[in-house]
Amino acid sequence: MIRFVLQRLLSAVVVLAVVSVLVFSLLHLAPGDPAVVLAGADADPQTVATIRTQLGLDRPLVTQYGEWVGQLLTGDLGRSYTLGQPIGELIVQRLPGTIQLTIAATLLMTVFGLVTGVVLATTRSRLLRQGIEYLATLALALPPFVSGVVLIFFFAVVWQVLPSGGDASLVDTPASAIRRLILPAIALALPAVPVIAQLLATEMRRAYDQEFVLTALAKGANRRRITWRHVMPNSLGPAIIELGIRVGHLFGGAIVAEAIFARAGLGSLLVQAVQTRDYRLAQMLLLLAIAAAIAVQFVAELCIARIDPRIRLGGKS
Amino acid sequence: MSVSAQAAPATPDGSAPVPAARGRSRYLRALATPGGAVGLGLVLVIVVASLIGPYLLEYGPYRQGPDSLAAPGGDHLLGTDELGRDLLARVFAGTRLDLLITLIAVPVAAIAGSLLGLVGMVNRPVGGFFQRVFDVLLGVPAVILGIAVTIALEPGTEAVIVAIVLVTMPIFGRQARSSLLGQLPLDYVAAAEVLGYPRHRVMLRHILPNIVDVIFIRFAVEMAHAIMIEGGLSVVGLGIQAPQASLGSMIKDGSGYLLDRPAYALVPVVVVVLLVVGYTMLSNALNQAVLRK
Repeated sequence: MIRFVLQRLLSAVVVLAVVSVLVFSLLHLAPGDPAVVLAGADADPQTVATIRTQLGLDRPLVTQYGEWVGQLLTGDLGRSYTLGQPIGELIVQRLPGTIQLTIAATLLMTVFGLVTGVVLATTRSRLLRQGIEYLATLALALPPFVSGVVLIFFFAVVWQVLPSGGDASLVDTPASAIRRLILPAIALALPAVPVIAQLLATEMRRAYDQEFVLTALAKGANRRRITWRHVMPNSLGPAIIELGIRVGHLFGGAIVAEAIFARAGLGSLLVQAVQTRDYRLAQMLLLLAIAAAIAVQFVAELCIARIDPRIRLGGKS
Repeated sequence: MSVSAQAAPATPDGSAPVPAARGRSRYLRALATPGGAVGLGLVLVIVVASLIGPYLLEYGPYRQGPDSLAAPGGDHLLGTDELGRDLLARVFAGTRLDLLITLIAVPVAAIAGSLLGLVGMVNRPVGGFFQRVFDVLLGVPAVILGIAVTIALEPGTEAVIVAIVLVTMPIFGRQARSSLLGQLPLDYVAAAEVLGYPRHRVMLRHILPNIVDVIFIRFAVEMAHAIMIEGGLSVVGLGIQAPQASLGSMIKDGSGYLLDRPAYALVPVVVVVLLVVGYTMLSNALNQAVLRK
């Protein structure tokens, strides 16, 4: 197990290192002189020169990258140009909004995905199965920017039962905050539900045919116990991998959801950073988002290795 | 199990089927099923409407009129936007731009991704290298990757195309590779090698035709995916830029007027849903036809 963990950890770190190089070089891939880009098109040469020396843009790229990473590792994330605040502070300010949203969406997609999967695998009603399949096709066709608009239209405009978005503090006004979380969380979770459900259902149907189910039946276990205690744990692997990817990618979806539902969060901060050409801030947020995605996938891999010894002993994954 | 677990990241639904006998008739049979026919119909209706529609309209997508946010009806079937531009004309233009972008980006991604996925057969280290590149790209959320592209390039049509290529290429690459691994143990590959054919010939002439079905199914799925990528980027404001219209940018602008002019955002929403549902049904039908042989 330890070997497996170290192996996966190493590969996660390598990927992160590669990504950090790519994110760092984005600014230099951009057409034109980064110092001019950062200063703005109409800045005078004096300012451009100051920015260049200030940021060390006149030094070799490798040195610059080394310094950037060195600063990151000591916890210094740098300052935002446009907002004049340390980037770390900005992230801490905006983090709660995004974290709440991703946690809410994770809960929804896990619960609904797994429950639908079990229903799909165990039901004998053809109607129910067909119905779920049609709904699944529809849900897959609803990325957050589409379902978000539809949800706002029905729940906030037509029926007026939930707010169309905005922010509220979970500490001061918890009821309002949770009401504002519902729609964006549904929008984010929706496309994942049918995928997770189908992965689980396929594995479960396969598991029902295996000998341990027959053994359990022979020993007198009832269907419910077989489903939940024997079949379900043996079938979770693919669903958990998919969940790990989906949850890791939630930050991407959160950017869209924050735009549609007018929420303040890291996603809206990133968009603002790119639009105001605050590249240091944008780079930092990109790196953070990707690191989060990699970390979640790492955790998901550990979860399956814990559940399914074939994975951790097989060595290959 | 471990196979499906491995395929799960990129292809939750498209695990590589054993190749059937070749023949175009299977595609035709797929299109003759109810799902296939409806899927194809939806996509075709939208394509044809967006091509013919503009000729039936009095106003172009950029022409500003005196009435801003006019109600649907009369001169403007869907009303006008905040600058008095005809919404129907903009829906047509936006749909065309989306179709154009996806029809450029997805084939590029499919061809490049498939070839890079197969290259490991000819040159193992190079193939391994590209698989690692794909791993990294697949680890990055699509919107994040798209935003990274808009930093390197300016936000706009080209950036959206590049973003779609970068997001979908690794998916094709993984698909091609996992299909390739499914073909390698088969007798015909061994036979071709015994005959002494060079590996690139075996790859392109023998294996590629056998996995092209799977790539084709993936293609339909990724066309839908590409529409979503454009939409996501445009909705956050980093995709298609004004004054151009795309389905995503119209949803973004229209979502501010849901109360008074719901058609502004909801019509492009419906177009996106129909397109995506159409592509999805099409790929499901193809998938079943190929699996059934």
